[in-house]
Amino acid sequence: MTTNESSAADPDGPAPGAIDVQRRRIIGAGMALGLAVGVLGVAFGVLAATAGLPVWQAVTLSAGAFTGASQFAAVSVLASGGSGGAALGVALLLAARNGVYALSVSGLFAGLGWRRWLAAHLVIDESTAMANAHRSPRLSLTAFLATGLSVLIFWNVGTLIGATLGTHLGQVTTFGLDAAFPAAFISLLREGVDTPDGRRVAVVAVVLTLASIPLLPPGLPVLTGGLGAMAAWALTARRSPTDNATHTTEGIER
Amino acid sequence: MTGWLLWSIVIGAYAFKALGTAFGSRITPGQAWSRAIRLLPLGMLCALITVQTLATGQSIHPDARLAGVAVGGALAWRRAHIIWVMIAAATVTSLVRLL
Repeated sequence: MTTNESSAADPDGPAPGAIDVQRRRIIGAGMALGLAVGVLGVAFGVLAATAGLPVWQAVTLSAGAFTGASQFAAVSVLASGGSGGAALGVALLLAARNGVYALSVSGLFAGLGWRRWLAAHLVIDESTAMANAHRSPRLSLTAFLATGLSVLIFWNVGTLIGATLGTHLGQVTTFGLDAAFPAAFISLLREGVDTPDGRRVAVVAVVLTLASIPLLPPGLPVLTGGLGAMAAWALTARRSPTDNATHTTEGIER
Repeated sequence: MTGWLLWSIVIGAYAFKALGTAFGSRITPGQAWSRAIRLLPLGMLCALITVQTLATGQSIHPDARLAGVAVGGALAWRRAHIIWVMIAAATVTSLVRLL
């Protein structure tokens, strides 16, 4: 947590104009992520159509499950002749990480009342990464909601287009879009990784993930990497003398 | 896709999000937990970046994605706007695939 960023993002600190500029920038980034996800949504719709799913099922998945990796995996399993049980298993393994994100992001939902259960539906990779890129809870919530809603809308419009035109579109290549998302996440993690704690967590997460990719079924390496890195940090931080200091600054910030 | 499979995925996916929200809401800022929880998305997203860049199924398979993410990541490190980071990563990856 860099002090200049936290004070710049403090809702009570700068003039209202500065907040508006930041807001607009956040919403712009959220729209850009949504648009890219929309293109991926077209690809999902086409895949669903070629796997024999009716349009209503493809859209029900995109609106109701709203977790891209799970949807792609489940439909791919069915398309390659796999069983329903196998499709469900891989879908749930990949969906589990949203639950872990929610543990952290739900701290932003305090003022939302019952609507937190609607906000919970928006907990996905993109909205979590955008929320995590800001220190001020208010800007984090703006980033979370703007990105979550933008991705929800574009993902579903994309799915509808892909599933409807499906067989007419032929093979949709993703135009390197698969690389755009990890690059976007690097962009959003940049500030967080620039702290000693952040660096440690990042390195341990990458190493644990690389070690578990060959050993575990898809979906689990992200969980073992992320949760393992946090556990390793918590176990070593207890003995570190700087822990108390970081604790107090964190208490003030929140 | 059978009805039970469709609705199991829909309900299961939301159940994870709701469970995380229910437990997360009980963590108060003072607790020792809260700081570890705040580092959690960072660890999870670093793990996700690794999988999305290098994994193909259960094998580690560096390909065109790695080139795109490397260029996009370098731009991100120099604080380029996220839109340019995404465009650069996608363009480089598709160009490498064309070669």
